[in-house]
Order: sequence, then C-alpha cells, then structure tokens
Amino acid sequence: MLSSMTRRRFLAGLAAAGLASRLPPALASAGDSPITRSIPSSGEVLPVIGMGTWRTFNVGTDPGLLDQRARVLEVFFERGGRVVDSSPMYGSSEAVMGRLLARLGRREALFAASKVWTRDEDETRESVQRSADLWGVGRFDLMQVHNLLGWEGHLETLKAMKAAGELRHVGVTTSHGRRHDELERIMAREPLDFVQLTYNLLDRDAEARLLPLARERGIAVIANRPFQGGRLFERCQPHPLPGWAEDAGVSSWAEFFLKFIVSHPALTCAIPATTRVEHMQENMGALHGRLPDEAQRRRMADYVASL
Amino acid sequence: MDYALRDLLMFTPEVYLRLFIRVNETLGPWLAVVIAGLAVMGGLLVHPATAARRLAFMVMAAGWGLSAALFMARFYAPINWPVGWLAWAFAGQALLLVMTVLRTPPARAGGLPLTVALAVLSVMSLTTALAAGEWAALALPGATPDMTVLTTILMLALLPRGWRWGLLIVPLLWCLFSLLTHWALGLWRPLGVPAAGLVLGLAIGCWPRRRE
Repeated sequence: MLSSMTRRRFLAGLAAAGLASRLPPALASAGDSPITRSIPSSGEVLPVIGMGTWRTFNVGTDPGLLDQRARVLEVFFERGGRVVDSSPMYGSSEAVMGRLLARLGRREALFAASKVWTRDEDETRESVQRSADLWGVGRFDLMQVHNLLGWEGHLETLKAMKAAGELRHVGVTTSHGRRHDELERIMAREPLDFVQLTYNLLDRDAEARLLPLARERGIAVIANRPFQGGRLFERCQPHPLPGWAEDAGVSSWAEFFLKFIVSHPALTCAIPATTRVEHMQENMGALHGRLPDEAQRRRMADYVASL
Repeated sequence: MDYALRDLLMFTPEVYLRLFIRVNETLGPWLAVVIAGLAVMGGLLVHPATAARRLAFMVMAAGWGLSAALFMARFYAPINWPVGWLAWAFAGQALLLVMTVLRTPPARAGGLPLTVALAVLSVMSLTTALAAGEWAALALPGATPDMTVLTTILMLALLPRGWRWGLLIVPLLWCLFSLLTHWALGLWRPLGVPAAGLVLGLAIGCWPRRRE
C-alpha cells in the first residue's frame, strides 16, 4: 500500500503523538513525508529506499574507510532509511555493518536483512547466528536464502526459526535475472514474506510474471541492482534529464532510476549501494516527493532505451 | 542479463589500493629493512659465491612469507576470501624456494640483465602509487604479492630449466588471479605487473639457463 500522506499531515500526526521532537533534522527539511510501503505478510511499514552493501561496505578494518562509510550510513538513517541488506558473501560487509551500527547507535531504526549463503543445508542456524553476531543484532528482521543456494533445506529451517520467533521475516533472493523460472515455482508454493530480485530500467524481466505473482501471493519485493551495477549512470549521465522529469517527481538521475523502480505497485523497496555521502543524499531524494504514474513510467523506460 | 567479471568482485578499487597504503603504514620503519633486503639481494645475485646466491633466494622466500602473512592474510583476505587460501600457497612457495636452492645452486646473474631487471621492477613498483595518487601506495617486492611474484619469476631464470616449472605453478596461478582482479577493478596500470609476470613466467619456463 502506497502512503499518500502529505508533509503537513505527517507533521501534524507526529505532533499529536508527541513525536515531532524526535524527527531527524534532515527529514524535517526534506520537504515531505517519506514514501512507504507495507510488508503484506506483517503489515509493517517500510521506507521504499533501503541500502545495499554489496562491494561498498566491504572495507575490512581500514579506519579511514570505516569513518567514511559511517558517514554514509548516518546520512541514510538521518534521511529516513531503515532497510539495510547484506550477505556473508560480501566479504567483511556484515562485520563492518556491526561495527558502524554500534558506533552510530542506530539499531532501533534498522530493518536488518541478511542472507544464508552456504551449500550445506544443515548449516542454516549456524550461518544465521554468525551473521547476527557480526551485525550485533538479537534477531534479524529478514533472513533470505542467497541466490537460491540450497534453498529447500535452508528455507525449512528459516520457517521454523520464524515460527519460534527467532526471525521476523523470511525470503529468497536472486540477482542478474537468473533462475527466474525456479523463483516463480518457489513463490507459487512457499509462504514467503519477501523475494529479492534484480529490477531496474534495463532489467525488466520480472515485470512479466514475478511481480504480478508477488502481488497475488502477498510477497514483499526488494529490488537489487537498481543502477545495474552503475551501468545506468554510465549510460545516462552524459545526457541531461528530460524536461518532463520534474513532472514525474524526479530531480536527478539517481531519483529517475529509483523512482521508476519503486513506483511499480508490487515493489516494496529498492536497495541502492554507494560509498559516497553525496550519492546517498541523492538516493534518499527518491524517498520523497511524487512518484511517476504508469504513463510516466513508460516514458522513462523509452527515454533510457533511446540513449 | 548475465554476470560480468566485475560483478563477481566484492570490493572497490579504492579499497584495494588502500591495502598497499595500510601495509606500508604497518611496516613503518621496517620498510627500510625490506628495501635494504632488496638492495642486498641484488648484490648477492651477482656474487661469485654459491652460498651468497642461495642466500638471495632465501631472502626472497622470506618476502613470500611476509606477503602471505601481512598483505594477504591480514589485510586482503577479509575483503576477498579466496586470498586466504592463496596465502597458504604463498607460504608453501616460500618453503619450496628454500628447499630448491638448497638442492640446486642458482647461476650468477649478469650485471646488465640485473640492472635492467631492477629498473623494470622499480617502475612496476610505482603502478599502484600512480593509480592511488599517493606515494604511500608503493608496492614493494617482498611485501606485496604481485611484485614479489614478478621479482621471483625473474630470479628463476638463474635456476636450471628442469627446476623452474615446479616453482612457476603458484606464481603463474597468482598472476592469472591478479590479472583478472585488476581487470575487473579497471586498474589498468597495476594490471601490468601480473600481466608481465604471466608473459615472463611462460618465457622463463622455456628459456635455457646461462651456460646451461
């Protein structure tokens, strides 16, 4: 469900609830309320822009780079972000996230999403526990099976862990448009809370069957690779934004790419990754303002295809 | 849509180049010892005494150990997990180098080839510094894997051809791994080091030893 609350109503609501003083300053000056979607299975509301950590937060123990990433994460939370996604596959990213969350003290805002990434289907619990220790979280808001690796065994255990209250939501992931047929079969038969898949202006295979199926089955959708690993910027940034972009609620290429994604009614959240504060600020711009309508979405796709 | 080589890498060029700075910072004053060791090694390789030339190879073996323990295991492996395994291969190569030179003496290096090799290695050491835009990112043989491998490959020309191939397996595998890594990162100048290592490794594997 798309929130259509205005800034005035949002602030009035906060004031009435005595929460206005807790409003992050950057959000207060952002101009309107964040765009949110609810998770169909739990009703929990999430901001539509989250954060990925693939490549960007794998900095080991480098003090200089840790400071830099701390600033990126701080801006993410200040601008209203909540969903952070990582994986044991991403090198030191989970450990880095744990260190930075402890440093910033922002765990209360976090919607922590990670993955199980091992062929050994008996190792699910150990993998979840290792990740929880690295992140420093008691339990994950979302635990996913990474790239469907050993998904049958892992998903059974994750479902049992969710039933026991050890996890809040469970899901599976794919990327690069791979194994969509298998993902479709899993979505059709398993009680998933989330799926994560690649969806962006250039990779739109998911529109045909997976996104309609997600709506039908009440599965939240996280879009990874929203910039196609940076290739969308390489392709589009030499060109100006089209004159009609402002009508679609877009003021930068990052917003152009992200608002296209999150304006699809089946999408819950997109998870762009960045190493730079200014890019995070641009990304979080897509959390506010208007979203393009269906006609504008078609126009956006046509424009990018023409470049 | 399919995986590209760069989609398989889990870190950015910035993080990779920072590894060189961090290794140099960690070594601190010991960098002078590494540089002195390299200078002494050049002298030992042209020395008429067999024991001196053997010692040069043992100094290089120590460089393999240092690269494995510091650069690879401590700094690189946490961001690129296959490097943890390759660090063990480096440690094994260090032992293999020592065992080989104890069994077969290296030939004496010629003055001109040694001078040319030192000049080439000096230039190659600068490629990471140029890519990072900082002198602190200098890659020294004996402290960083690519330069250690390239230096060793050149030294293997001093061993009988029959012994070289066994000692070329780890260097050539590393060069291939490193070449693909640099390619995926788009670090073209530092890519020259493993590329040169691959070409020279294959050439030296086939090249006859002086006076052989």
